[in-house]
Amino acid sequence: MNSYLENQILNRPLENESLIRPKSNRASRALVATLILTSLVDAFSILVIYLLMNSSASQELNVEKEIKLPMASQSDVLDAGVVVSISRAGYKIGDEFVKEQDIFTTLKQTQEQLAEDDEERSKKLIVQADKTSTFEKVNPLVMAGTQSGFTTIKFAVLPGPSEGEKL
Amino acid sequence: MKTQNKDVNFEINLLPVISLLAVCISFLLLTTVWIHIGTLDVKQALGEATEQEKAEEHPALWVTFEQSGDLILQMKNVKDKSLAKAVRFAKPQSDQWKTLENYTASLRDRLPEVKMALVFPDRKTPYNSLIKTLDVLKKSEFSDLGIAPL
Repeated sequence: MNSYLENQILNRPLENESLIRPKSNRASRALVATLILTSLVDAFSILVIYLLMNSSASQELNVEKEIKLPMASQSDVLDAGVVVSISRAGYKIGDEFVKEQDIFTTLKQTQEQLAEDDEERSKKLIVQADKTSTFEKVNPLVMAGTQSGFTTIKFAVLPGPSEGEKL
Repeated sequence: MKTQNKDVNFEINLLPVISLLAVCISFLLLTTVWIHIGTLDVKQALGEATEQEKAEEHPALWVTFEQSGDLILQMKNVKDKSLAKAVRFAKPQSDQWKTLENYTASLRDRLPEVKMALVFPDRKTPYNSLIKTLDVLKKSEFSDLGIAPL
């Protein structure tokens, strides 16, 4: 009885072509090997499960390249909210740049529109700021946000061990 | 017997399965968000019933950033006057955050009913230090965090 492994043995092509002792006649087995695909399917399945686990249902937030968020170990899961960001280019509410004096008006309008639709987002303001900036830059957003009716201010952070940087 | 074995053995065509899994993997690799972003939540500091107003009535920890970078921690509206003494932390460096964390945790242990902390940043307070302070307070189980604008 031939074992399973014996069927998988490949003949060396050069050996068959030899002029002195050609083995091509003796070895009549074809140069065809069966790939064992079961392990490949297993590996693929594990990959799919891992990727599915990793792609959680949490919100996505686009952070501009120039903004480096600070790190915090006690962060919460990101919820839906109105996103405001502070970069060198200025203040940005949603996708539009806004002048400092117009922050309150724009936030108020956005908040009222969202509140009309009874959206959960109408109460949450997500602030994105670079870790090297000062509170002076963040203050107009905090001030305008609270005055325009946002009850919770969420500072966007990267979860992880917070950096022990100097004050 | 031989013919019976022939009938029983069959091969599953795994190629469509592999193709499907390959498509799944490519799709998931493209759509997965690798950098997860979290938030540090702070309640309102201005408005009708602000954290500041609440803090004026209820026991709360007030954290004030000075222009020099020093931090002043003081318990407000507590019965035990010894705890109401303001404590200054000289501009915390990387290794001193742990000291601040230990202090806030000890305050929390002595006054477990106090859950509110109000942060008063200065104009020049680095944003990273503000976040770090909020993180320390949250780690010490101060769940109601408020921030006072300038």
